[in-house]
Order: sequence, then structure tokens, then C-alpha cells
Amino acid sequence: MVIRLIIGALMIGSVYGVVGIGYGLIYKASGLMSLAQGDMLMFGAFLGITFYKYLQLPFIIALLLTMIIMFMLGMFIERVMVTKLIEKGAQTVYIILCTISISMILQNSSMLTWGSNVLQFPAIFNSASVKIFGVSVAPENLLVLGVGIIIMVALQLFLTKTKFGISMRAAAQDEVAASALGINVPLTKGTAWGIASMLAGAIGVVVGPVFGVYMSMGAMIGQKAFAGAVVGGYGNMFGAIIGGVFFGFLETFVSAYLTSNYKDFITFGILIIVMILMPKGIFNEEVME
Amino acid sequence: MEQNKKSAGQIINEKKFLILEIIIVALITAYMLRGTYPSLILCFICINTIAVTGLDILFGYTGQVSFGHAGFYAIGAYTSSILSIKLGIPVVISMIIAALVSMFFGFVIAIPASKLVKHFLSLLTIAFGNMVYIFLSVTKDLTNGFSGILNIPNLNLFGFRFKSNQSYFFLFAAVAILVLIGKKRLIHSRFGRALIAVRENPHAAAGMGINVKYYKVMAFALSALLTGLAGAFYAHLIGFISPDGFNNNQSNVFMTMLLFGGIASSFGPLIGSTILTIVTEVMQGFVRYQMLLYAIFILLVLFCMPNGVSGVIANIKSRIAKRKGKKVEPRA
Amino acid sequence: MFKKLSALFLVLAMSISLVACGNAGKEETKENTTSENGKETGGTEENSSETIKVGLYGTITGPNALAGEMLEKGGRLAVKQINEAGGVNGTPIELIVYDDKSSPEGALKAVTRLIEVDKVVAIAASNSSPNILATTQLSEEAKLLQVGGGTSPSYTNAGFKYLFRGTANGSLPNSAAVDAMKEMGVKTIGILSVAAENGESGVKSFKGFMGDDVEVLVEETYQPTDTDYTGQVNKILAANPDGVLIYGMTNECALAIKQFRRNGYEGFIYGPEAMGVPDLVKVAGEAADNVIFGSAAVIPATVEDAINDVEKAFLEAFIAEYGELPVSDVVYRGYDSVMLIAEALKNASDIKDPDSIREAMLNVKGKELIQGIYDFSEATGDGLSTARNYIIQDGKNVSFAEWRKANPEK
Repeated sequence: MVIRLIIGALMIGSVYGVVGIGYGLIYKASGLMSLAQGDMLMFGAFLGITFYKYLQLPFIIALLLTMIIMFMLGMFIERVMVTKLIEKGAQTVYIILCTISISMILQNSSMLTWGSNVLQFPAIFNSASVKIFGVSVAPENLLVLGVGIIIMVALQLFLTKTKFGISMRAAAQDEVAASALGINVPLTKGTAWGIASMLAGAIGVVVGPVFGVYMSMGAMIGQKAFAGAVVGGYGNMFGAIIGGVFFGFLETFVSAYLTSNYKDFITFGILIIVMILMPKGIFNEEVME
Repeated sequence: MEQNKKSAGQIINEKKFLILEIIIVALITAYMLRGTYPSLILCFICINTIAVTGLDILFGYTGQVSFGHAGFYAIGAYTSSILSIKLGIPVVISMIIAALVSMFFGFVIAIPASKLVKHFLSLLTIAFGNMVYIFLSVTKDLTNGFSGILNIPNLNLFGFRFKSNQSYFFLFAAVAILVLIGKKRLIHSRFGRALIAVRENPHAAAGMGINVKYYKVMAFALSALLTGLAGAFYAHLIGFISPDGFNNNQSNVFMTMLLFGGIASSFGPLIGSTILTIVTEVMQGFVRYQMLLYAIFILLVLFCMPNGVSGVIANIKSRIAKRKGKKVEPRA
Repeated sequence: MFKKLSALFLVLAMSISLVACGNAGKEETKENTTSENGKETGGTEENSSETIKVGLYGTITGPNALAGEMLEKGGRLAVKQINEAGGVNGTPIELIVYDDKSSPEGALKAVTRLIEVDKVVAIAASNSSPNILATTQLSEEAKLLQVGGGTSPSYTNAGFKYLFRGTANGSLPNSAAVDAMKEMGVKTIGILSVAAENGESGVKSFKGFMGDDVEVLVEETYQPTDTDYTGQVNKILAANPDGVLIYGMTNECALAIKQFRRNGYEGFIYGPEAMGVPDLVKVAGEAADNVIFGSAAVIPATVEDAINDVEKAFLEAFIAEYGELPVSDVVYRGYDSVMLIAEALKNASDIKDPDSIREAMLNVKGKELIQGIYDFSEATGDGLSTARNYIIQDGKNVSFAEWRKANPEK
């Protein structure tokens, strides 16, 4: 039972982690908060199911296409909406309102396009289960975990090894200095939003077969991913992952060994205690003020 | 300080403007009060105004974000209902107690919250909202779980039994106006200036001898008091409450109303709750498309008025003032 | 500057004019109503003063939009059929649909608007029971007939005079499922239910029927917004019960069934009537086999599999109208509710007198609709007294009794 629980917790935890990285990226790059991350996951899942099930494309192509579209969507939101609003003199808090309406638009347009019932994502693998440590596990669950890990590694490489990644980090550290050095700061901001929604969309496609695809699937995941990212150390990539996995474990084990009635009550309670003890998160991230 | 700068003429002009506004609003209100349904909408406008004003004091003036105000709303609603049903306490008193209980929770939350900023605070308030919601749904003996509390008694004040939406409206409107005036006076007092100082720069404020923690906690408590009171009003108006009305969604509704109307402004909460409550009802005609249209509407308005509706009004006023100023002083 | 000013005033003018005079809002709704089935009810538009207005509200947007949509479609189809057959004593019905936004507040607003602005004579009420409860005070005072689509036992047998139910009381399918459970020799059970009104009241009614015969080993819940139940599932499986009971909305049930199967559970799963929705099999696939549930009526795999003529006629009409089979049995609730209202209106001595409508409703006896034969004469608000039980085999809903006959050894 413990092995099953650990695998389950790792799976949902890596979902939280990947979505949480998105929050961190957005915050690092622009100091803003997007409330639409969970719905990006939902939208990505719908795109994925459209490509894979209705257009009959191979899974990997469906995943890549979704990622490209989600990247452009994120970029579009930052370049066309957020920046324009700020240029028009909006205070940063109004971006919250902007992302709230974006999330409502995403949810309702998905409902109108794809209907309000749960869509079944067809199985990706032929075999129904794989044995790990004597426990049978659905391969889709492992896929979620695998994609989560690949995304994390790829992102880390991108941010530390490529020129553009390094300039993104530089821009996040000091906008003025970075633009003085010839870094295209607006582009790095847009890219950060793009990557954030791309990650959420990608993980949305891989959780599709596990959870099914429906319009409200992202709401709670978005919130819990945010919780994980904050506890881990907001803006820190590893923090987001550790925080997400921590939240996944907490949630799964509380409902398995204590009580599921009070599950979220206890989980959030523990988070509050963690925050009081470690007000800067597990990874001790400095807060921009 | 600002008021001293204004010339006598401007004040008179502003007063004229205000009187005109009040007359228009009063006429529309009187017309709406002829029916139960428009009165119900008016009641909700007042309730939302009170709750959103609470959020404004915390978020707009003190700069402490909250995504869990539905929690206070719920505490107010449940406390008042339970007290009036199970203990038979008169509704007026139960409402006041409810607001105070909500304030108490505001204090409790504020103690850890005053140390946190930005997303840590967002998370804390999200956690608080979720915890209240779950608490309501699992403590079946107290809250009757998801089945909700039915037959919440009507308000009875000095022998007058509030039954119709119209009668409730007069009470709620009076309270809402008092709250708005009270907020304005508070903000222009020493207390209010301290809150704004805390928002603008907590370190500088502390340097100036302002007890930052004290003001943060007080803002939280005051905010919780108002939102809790609104919750109590809600419960007795509807007569039925269940956890369904107090989830995250409700917190987002308050946040949307506040930002839509404009933060840290005298009439922002009123404008935001009025327009959005009415627009929601108008959209009912579009059945399945209503939420989409509602979101697009908000986005469009946001693009026309990037700092909320009241931001535009402030802009217009300052421009008028500027133009007048130019006429008086030929060249500065 | 001018743009901003004019935009502001436009917004204000629009909102105020539309709501302040409720008539404007009403006009808009009517347009919407008739545009969807404009072809058929075209006649009603010209002489709108001579229609009978019936309201309908449900969870049309939000997480439970599917159920609300189905309620609405069922209701609209019923209205269309009634009007084609000449309406209520020659007067066509006009259906006015509102969204209750899945909250008591939204339901209260919708019903107030239906009563006052639209002046409806009766309402087909929400598929969400707490939302119906939120409006009872109002409709009882206005003496307005409401026929609900929610299954929670809470709002009938509760002393409401004008509140009826247009579907089976949730306890009937539950009782049928418990009968099957006992038949299968289940002695111990683990329960996983949704932390919402339907889960809470459903589990309570299940427990009532199980009594001392079936012991509850472990009882867990999940939040409606949760997507992962690994912890709960494993806790239940660790207790090793004879059977598993899942109580929630269809999509949640499907998710839970999948997760039970994935974690190695191969036994029988029992559940509410929501299990009968075709989506369950679509989403859960093979995992849905050996799921047993009770229901007043299920959506069959094809029109030919319909259990009675009313259902068959309905399904044919539904396909003609919307091009596919309905996706949830909530559609039957909307249809039956509106049909029952029409029946009551037909027999009422004076449709302007609410008490005569109620009287006519109480006299509904032996009216066969999709979900069974309605009889409201006991004045409890419930009209149905039986439900059937089913088992899913190879992705199809099969009658439990027939399956049991064929497989007595299991």
C-alpha cells in the first residue's frame, strides 16, 4: 500500500510542481501573479485531446503541438494583455482582475466548444499496467511522472545552459541592467509567461488519460500548485517542485492514514504552520517588495 | 492637507455634482423598489458593497491581499444563523455578535498574516478560505453540513418585522452608506494615513514610528468585521445557507468587484458591486453564454479603464480641476 | 477622454435600463427562448400574451453545467411536444430558463425573477437540491408550484405544500442498490463519497437501508474539485471490504472507479443513479464493469433498448432535435417535471389560482412518464415509488435481476 501511495503522491505532486514552476517563472520575470495557471492546464488538456483523439495525430505530436499553442497563448496574454494594461497605467494589482477574467473566459469557451461533459482521453499505451516493486501501476501515471521530470530537467538546462535562458535569468534579477546589456527584456517576460502556460498545458495533456478532461479540472490543481510553490520558496524552481511534491505527499498520506473528511483542512493547516515557522519558504527565497 | 488646497468654488461644484448623483441614484432606486425582484438585487448590491468595502480597507488601503474573504462572509452568516436559531437570540444581537466573531477570526488570522507579504499572504488567505469551507461542511452537528440551515428567522427591530426585500433594503442601504462614510472618515484620519503609509512602504512607516504590525492587524480585524456583518445580512435575507455559497468562487467575486470598481477609492466598492451585480442579472438572458460574456465584459471595461471604474472618475475630476485651475492662473 | 466617459455611461445606462425595468430583461429572455425553438413555437411569438409561462432553473454554467444543460434540454423538448399537441387546453407554454449558478444565492435570484418579472405559473426546479431548498420559503409564500429535479430526500416529506419532485427520490435507487448488495451477500463495505450535499444525503440514505446487515468498515470523502483519490482508495482497500460504495456525480464516480481498479480492486462497486449515465462507461471504460446501481431510468445504449414507449418516443424526439442521444438521465427529470406541470395545468380548474394547480397536481395518478408512473396523491411531494437496479456488463447497463439469473454463482 505504501508503494502505491508513494507513486500516487509523486504523480500528483509532480503535476503540482510543474504547474507551480509556472507561477514562479511569471513572478520572477514580471513580479506578477496569474490566477489562470490551473485553467491553462485544463485548456492544454482539451487541445491535447482534440489533436490526439479527434485529429488522430500521434501522441508525441499532439503533445508538442499543444505545447506550441499554449506557449503562444501565454505569450499573447503577456504581450497583448498584461503589458498593454500596464502601459495604460494600470496598477499591478489589476492584473489579478485580468487573469481572473482570462480564467473565466478559458473555462467557459472550453465548455461551449467541447461541451460540459467529461471527455475520455484514450489510452496511450497498449498495456493496462506495469509492475513496479510488485505493484501494478497504470503506465499513464508513470508518464505523468516522467514528463514532469523531463520538463524540470529541460527547463533547468534551458535556464542555465542556453544564452536566452541566461538572459532571462539576468532580466529577472535586474531589468534595467539587463536591458542596458542589450537583453530584450519584454521578450524575456513574454517568454516566461509563454513557458509557464506551456508547462501547464503539457502536464494537462499527460494527466488527461488519468483524470479525464473537463472544464473545472484545473481549478483546484492551480490552487494547490500555487500553495506548493509558495511553501517551497516562490520563484525558486526547485522550491516549486519540492513544494508541489510535499503537498502531494501530505494530501495523499493524510487521507490514507488520518481522515479524508478533514484532508484539505489538515493540509492547509500544516501549510500555515510551515509558513509561520519558515516565512520565506523551504528554499528561503527573498521576496521582492 | 488636500482639502485645504481646494478653492471654495471647487467645493461648491463638487457638492453640486454629488447632489445630482444622489438624486439620480435615488430616483432609480425608488423605481426599482416597486418590485420584489429589483429590490432583491438592490439588497445584494448593498450587502456586496459592505463586504467589498471590508476587503478594500485590507487590500486597497493596507495593501494586504486576501483571497479568502468568503471565509469571513461565511463566519458571519453561520454565526448569526446558529445563534438566532439554536439559542433564540434576537436577530439584531446575533448579527452584531456574528460581526464580532468574524472580527475575532480576523485578529487570529492577522497575527501570522501580518508577518507575511504578497504570495505568502495570498496562500495564507486561500488556506483560510478553504479551511472555513471544509469546517462548515464537516461539522454536521453545528452547521448541518451540506444540507444547509433552513428557515433562518427574519430580522425584528423595535417591533418591526423585516419581511419584504424592500424593508431589508432600507436597513442594508443605511448600513452601507454609514460604512462608506465611515470608511472615508477613517481613511482621512490619523489611522487611515497610517494604513496608507504601511501600504506604500512598511519600512519607512516603521521608521516614522508607526507600529506596522498593529495597523496590519487592525486592518484585518476591521475588514473581517465588515465582511462578517455582510455575511450575517446575507443569511437573514435569504433565509437559507449552505456551504455552496461560501467557496473560493465567492472570494473571487468580492475581489473582482473591488478591482472592477477601483481599489482605495471612496466609491469603488459601491460602483463595482452595483455594476457587476446588475450585469450578472442582465446576462441571465444569455443562458449558457452568460459567464463568457460576463468575463469579456470585465476585460473590455478593464482595457478602457485600467485602474477600475472609479479610477476613471478620479481622472475626469482631476482633469476638470486642472482645466479650471488653468483658467484661474494664466501661467504658472 | 470622451471615449472613456461615453464607455462609462454606456455601461451604466445599459445595466440600469435593462434591469431597472424588468420588462426589458424579460424581453431579452423571451427572444432567447424562442430563438432556440423558434421554428416550432413560432406561433407563440405574435400572441405572447396568450402563452402560459413556465420557469426552469438549474446549474447551467459552472462545474455541473452538464446536468443543468440536460435539465434544460429535457424541459425544452417537453414544451415543444406539449405545444405541438395543442398546448395546455389550447394555450401554448413558454419556457423561461435561468441559471442558478450552483449557489443558493443564484437560485433565490432566479426564482424571485421568475415569480415577479416573468410571472410564471409554475417552475421546474433545479437539479441541485440545496438550491431548491434555498427557494422554498419564497415559493411557499407565493403559492407557486415547483417540481424539482434534485434527488436528495431532503426536500420532500418536509411539509412543503407547493413543492413536488419530478424524478425518483434518491432513496429509491439507493434502496434498490442495497437490495442488490444484500443479494450479492455483501457483509462489509467501504464508502467513498463526495463532500457535497448529494454525497452526504446519499450515504445517509444508503446507511439507512443497509441497517445492521451491512457493516461500514471505512468511510472516506473527497472534495468535488479533487482529481486524485489515491489516499482514500488505498485506505479503503486496506480494510478489505466485501464491496465498495462510491457516491458522487457521474464524472467523479468514473474517476473513482478507475482509481479503484488501477489500485487493484476487482470486486463489485455499488453506487447512486449517477452511475447510469452513459458518460461513466465512456470515461471509465472496462473499469466500469461490475458496477451495480439503482435508478429510476437510465439512458440506454440505443433507442431500441428503451424500457417503455414514453422513453422511446422521447429519445427519438431528442435525436431528431439535437442529433444524438442525451448524455445524462437528468434530461428525463427536466422532461418529466415539465410534463407533470403541464398535466397539472391542464386539469386545474383555474390556472390563475395556485391552489387549484396544487390540487390538480395532487390528483395526478397513474401518469406514465419516462421515469415511471407518477402518483402524488399522498401529498408528500414524491410521485414515484419504485426504482430499478442495474449492473454494468461489457460497457452496457443490464438489468440486475436478469444478470443475476444468468450468473447465480457470483
